[in-house]
Amino acid sequence: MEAPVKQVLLTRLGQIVPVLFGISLLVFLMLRLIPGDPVKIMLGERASPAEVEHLRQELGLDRSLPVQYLGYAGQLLQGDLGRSILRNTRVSEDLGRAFPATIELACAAMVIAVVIGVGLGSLAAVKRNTWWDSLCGTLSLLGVSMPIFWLGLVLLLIFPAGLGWFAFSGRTDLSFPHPTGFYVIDALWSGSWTNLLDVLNHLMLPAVTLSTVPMAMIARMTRSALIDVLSQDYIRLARAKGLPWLRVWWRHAVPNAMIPVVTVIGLQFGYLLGGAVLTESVFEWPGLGKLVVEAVRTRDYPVVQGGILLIAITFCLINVLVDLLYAWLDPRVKQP
Amino acid sequence: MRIGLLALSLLLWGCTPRTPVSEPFGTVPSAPPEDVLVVGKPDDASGLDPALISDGESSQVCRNLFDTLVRHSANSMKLEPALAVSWKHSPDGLIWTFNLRKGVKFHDGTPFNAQAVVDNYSRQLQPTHPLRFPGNRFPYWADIWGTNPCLIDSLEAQDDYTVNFHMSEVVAPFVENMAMPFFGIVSPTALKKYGSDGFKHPVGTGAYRFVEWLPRERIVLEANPDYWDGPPAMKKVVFLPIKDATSRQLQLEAGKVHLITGVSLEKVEKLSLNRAVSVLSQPGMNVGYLAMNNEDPHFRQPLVRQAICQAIERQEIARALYRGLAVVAESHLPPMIWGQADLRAYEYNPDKARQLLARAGYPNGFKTEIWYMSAARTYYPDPKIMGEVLQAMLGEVGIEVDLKAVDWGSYLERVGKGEHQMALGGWVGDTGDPDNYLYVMLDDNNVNRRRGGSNLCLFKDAEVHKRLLKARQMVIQEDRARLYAEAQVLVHEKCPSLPLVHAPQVGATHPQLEGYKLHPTGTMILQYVRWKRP
Repeated sequence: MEAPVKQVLLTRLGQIVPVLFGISLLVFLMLRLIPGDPVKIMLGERASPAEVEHLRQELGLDRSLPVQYLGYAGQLLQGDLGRSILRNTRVSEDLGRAFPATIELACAAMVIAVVIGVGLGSLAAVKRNTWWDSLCGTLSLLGVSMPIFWLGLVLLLIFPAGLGWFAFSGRTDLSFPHPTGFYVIDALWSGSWTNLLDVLNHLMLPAVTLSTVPMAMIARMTRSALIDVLSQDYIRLARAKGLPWLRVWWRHAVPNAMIPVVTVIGLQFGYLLGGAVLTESVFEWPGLGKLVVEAVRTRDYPVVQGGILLIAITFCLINVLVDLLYAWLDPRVKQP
Repeated sequence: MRIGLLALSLLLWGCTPRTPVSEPFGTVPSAPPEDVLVVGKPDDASGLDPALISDGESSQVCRNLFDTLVRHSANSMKLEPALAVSWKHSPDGLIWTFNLRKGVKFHDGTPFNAQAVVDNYSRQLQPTHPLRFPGNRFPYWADIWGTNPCLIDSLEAQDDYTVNFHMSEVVAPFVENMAMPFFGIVSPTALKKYGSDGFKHPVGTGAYRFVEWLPRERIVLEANPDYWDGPPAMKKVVFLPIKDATSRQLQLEAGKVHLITGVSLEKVEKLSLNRAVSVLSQPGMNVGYLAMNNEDPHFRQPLVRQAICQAIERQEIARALYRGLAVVAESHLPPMIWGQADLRAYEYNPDKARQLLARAGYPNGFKTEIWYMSAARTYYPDPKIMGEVLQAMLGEVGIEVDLKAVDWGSYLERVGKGEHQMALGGWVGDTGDPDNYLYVMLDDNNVNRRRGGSNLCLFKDAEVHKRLLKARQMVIQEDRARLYAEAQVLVHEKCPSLPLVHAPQVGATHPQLEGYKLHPTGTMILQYVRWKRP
């Protein structure tokens, strides 16, 4: 790795630490300031005040907020995210199951979004001011403005309920080992096409639903970036020199147009991690967003704290990755 | 092309005025080829150790994995032997003795005996018991028996197949409570083996054995071929958490799941016309009532309370708000529970209500409030609409009602403290004992203005209190039933609150599924379920 790139990487990684500290404190305080008592939710409406008090002591919720936070931070530094108040499962275990589900869904959605988004955006840029351009613009607008919840339900009505295609919900109907938690990889690892087909069958509709917003954003950004690049002098020069159009487009236009597109992809990927909750709800996808939302509802503090922290870490790492991609796409970034 | 047409028809469907479906539609599907049952539930289990849970979703699964000493019959509250073949109490009612079934084995092959029963309940009773592990909390035990003091003083194995429970005071509903799935017996060997993670590795004696649990994805059980009550017909049962009611319904209609719970009332009508589905419905073990604050200057007067009871048309409420599936409530005691009294229904008579109000000194009516909870409850699918209907009906007799929505988190506490004038009240019972309803909702002991009690109408009556208290300290059911009937007659006369409805339980199944019945407690018994095949 070249020295400036290494420096960018280290600086960015260093910046993550205070961000994580800030987030852990913010989430900790916010959770305790919103109304609702996890103990009362756990014990139900009939619990006696003595039982409520006893459990509050047992969970350490009777201590002052600074003492509670110091305890939590101390655990965190030792890599211990605690146990779920509601289920008594290890939070790391819950996150370990939900995180791959969300990443798998986000990756599948992003692949669809990038392939279709870049394709539509390029088409609109090349066929600027034609009906192709209008069509791409309309599709992008639809993608951004369609409520995900509604789209998910419509897809359920059309495909599994209407045509009998794809699965209604969940990640798979079959039992096979899940060593990685990424079911596509696990199905491939199991060596069974049946497993793989079943997993893809379950993945398709949620991935398509989730891909609409990033697809539209990517398409719009690709279009404007390509239009900008295609009007540059060096493109005109390349065309004047008689280079084939495809070579000009692929070698000179696309790499330069991709820098803002990569930024959008990075940001959208981060959005998919936390924002997949609606899609996860419609398709019963056991992902991170749904886990955190359910934990907020039941005031399961350790799960919410762990989940948000994990989303924050992933978001920061994606940003670092985007910075590295800049360096790869734009040689000027590497120069001191 | 097909997709395009379907999308277009969906679009057009969204734009055209809807006419209600009134003709049966769809075709009756045949039974699936394999003995597998897929159940769609509104939520996943929170744990699979019956002692550690207190929610319905978990207990529905646990009911099929674990047995209790006694159990309710498949579709009623009648008690029948399970892991205990007989039981009796000492003359003073302070010792209960259970004779256990012989030859029963846990799913891990270890024998079921008196020591297993003692281990199971002692871990919940004794804070230092070796089978109590970090993070173990026993909410249902604490709720039913209390912790300090506990109604169960101690228990011991008299011999290999006899267990004695020593009570600290007479607890009339003791055996009834022991039938709840939360008191299922777990293999002590498994508890020892898995420690704090025992809730993920359930080992019981039930009709089904545990296969796998992928949290928030599915729970899989398989038939227990050695079940003492005969092996179940279904070889495999899969529980899928499907939160969205529409998705659950679609999956049932498509034959992907075979049994669903939590069917919303507005979908029942259309669903019952689909030949691909069988809808099951029955009155639930609950009551929704209008709680009048008996300490409020208006509602302190019996004439005003009687007027309210005559001004509300409850038949219409049951028909319009519950699609005719609810039962009009005359008592706080649901109809399937023993101890019923022969009560004359409050007549809907607005003219008489106006006369009663005039006699009470309100010829022009008065102004008051009805509080309703912000969240739907089993007994009120839409509390706001219920409030609006009551507001309109009371307006007819001159009572001007302001509606006030109160957050559910603080609702019971505030109503229990008597901050309201009138409020929507309700109760879902756990057990089939009248004490669980009448004592909770109507006894003096449950009026608590400081902390908020469960007697939401703040009704105090020495005669009712005497009967309710006496009934909970007796063990002969006939004597208790008489006292409960007398108490209900007194309550009906004094009408401290107006029972409105017993809301229905609704479920739906594949039409070829037989042997499944809704249970009043809301539990799910899959032991007798089978596919109907020619």
